[in-house]
Amino acid sequence: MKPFLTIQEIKEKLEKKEITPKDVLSFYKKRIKKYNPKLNAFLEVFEEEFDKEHSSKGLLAGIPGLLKDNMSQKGRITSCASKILSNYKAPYDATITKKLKDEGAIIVGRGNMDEFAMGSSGEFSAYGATLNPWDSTRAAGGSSSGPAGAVGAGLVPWAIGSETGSSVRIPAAFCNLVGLYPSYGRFSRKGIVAFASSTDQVGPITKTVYDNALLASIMSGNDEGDGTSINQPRQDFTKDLSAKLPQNLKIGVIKDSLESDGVDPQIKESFTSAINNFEKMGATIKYVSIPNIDLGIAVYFVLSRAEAASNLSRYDGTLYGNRDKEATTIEEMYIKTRQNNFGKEVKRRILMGNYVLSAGHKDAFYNKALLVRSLLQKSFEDTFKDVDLLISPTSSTLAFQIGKESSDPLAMYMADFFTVPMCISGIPGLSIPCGFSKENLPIGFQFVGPRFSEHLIYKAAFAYEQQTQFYLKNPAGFE
Amino acid sequence: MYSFSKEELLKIAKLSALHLDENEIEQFAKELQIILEYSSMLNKVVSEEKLEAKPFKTNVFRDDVAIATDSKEILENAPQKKDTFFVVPKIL
Repeated sequence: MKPFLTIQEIKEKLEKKEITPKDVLSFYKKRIKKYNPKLNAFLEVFEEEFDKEHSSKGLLAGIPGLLKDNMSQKGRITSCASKILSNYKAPYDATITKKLKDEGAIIVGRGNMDEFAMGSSGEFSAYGATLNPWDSTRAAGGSSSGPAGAVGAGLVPWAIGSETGSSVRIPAAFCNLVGLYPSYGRFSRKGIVAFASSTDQVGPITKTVYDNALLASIMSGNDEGDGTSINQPRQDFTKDLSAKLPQNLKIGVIKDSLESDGVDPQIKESFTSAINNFEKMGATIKYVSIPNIDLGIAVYFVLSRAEAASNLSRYDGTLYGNRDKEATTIEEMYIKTRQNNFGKEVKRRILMGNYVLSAGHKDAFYNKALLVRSLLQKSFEDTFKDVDLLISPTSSTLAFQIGKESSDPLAMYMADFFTVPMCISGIPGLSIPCGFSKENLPIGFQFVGPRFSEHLIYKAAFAYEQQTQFYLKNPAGFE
Repeated sequence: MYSFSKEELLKIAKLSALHLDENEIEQFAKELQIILEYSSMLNKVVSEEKLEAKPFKTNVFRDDVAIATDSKEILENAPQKKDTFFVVPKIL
């Protein structure tokens, strides 16, 4: 077998009997063993899965994949890359875990991540950063660092990440991959560990648009076990994908993409060539301003931290997870358990969250953030009266150098300028590759659409991908 | 400049059931000041509209039926347990 095959290619080879399911498993087993110690993409490899007989039925039959370690897999540890959950075993499968397994997927491990999904580089994992397959001095990007690093290096053909502000799209962009942030409620969150519930969503990370659409189709559909799950049946996003753009497609370019000083010049250059490509492909291009988009990061700071402070109050050593054994009073138990088991970034976010919710500050921060969130939602609604889809760079910077940005919190958060507005507005965004920097680092851009426009996004992205084929380029050193 | 004092940090730490060491107090006071200063740009927005963030869905109900769960399974992850109980340090 060749490395870096897509799900679609592996399926074809299996169907034509060019390879057997055993070949697939032993191939990836070897690759993980060889390359993961360097990359640190897996927190655990499920060795026995490679040697078992698996079902041959389903859309993902025989295809190995990786789940980020905040998704429940029955009987397996779900640590969220935090010390506090290092021994926590999931009592049931998350709904998406079940849906993937029902289609024959073989889940071969737990993917590294920023602790409780809080971070954009992956460096806040209690178990170390995942290196970027394209440059080992840089981070794979977070918080879905393990899923992106593993797919980027060809250790698995697919992975599922989760995103609250940028955590699927940013690492996808940094690793030359496709990553989806879905419409709020598109995929069930039952069994996914909560960080900020008003924006937390899961999303597939793959090499190609087709593979991404396939996984999204499998995970879609209503789930009674999640009150925020939308009432729509399972979709098939893989149908009608073609090399031609949908007719009369009107694409809006978010003006800040080219005008903001905060965007890396090399990213602007790649993004500009993407715009030119769309013009050649027959799309109508409009340049649009989204009122209040520049407040997205501030809104996100306030809301995500407030929700995190609330969601993470459950980790107190009482019912599950680690407990400080020395404590003699219950209060001491709470405090010492949290003090000794949470990492710095998690503490910082809990502190800020409780501050913006506290008496005297709630109006100035939390309530104001809710108001601006609604203004931003309206901005997008108005914009989509004029254009079908929006585009912008995914990240405003290239992949972070390890140890650099994480020491300056604002600098790292600013990379999320173009991704958080979709999260707080509940609308989908898909990051796809659009070129490389002179240092040979991947650059991604994103399609953004109104709620439930995933199918249109996949169609436009597929046509662009056929035209450009950046996914064919793979990182060196993983042959 | 947005003002965020060490005293406020300590008060919030107490509310968050976190005890911070000296280094953390120094570092977090500085970093949170920067992030709060940045976030206070929200206060510049003056809107005539009295908008509230629209929830995507409201009032999702299910039938109120009891689902039996094996207490063994629930206690599997307990840091300390006895019979069918979670054990914690003495409260009263």
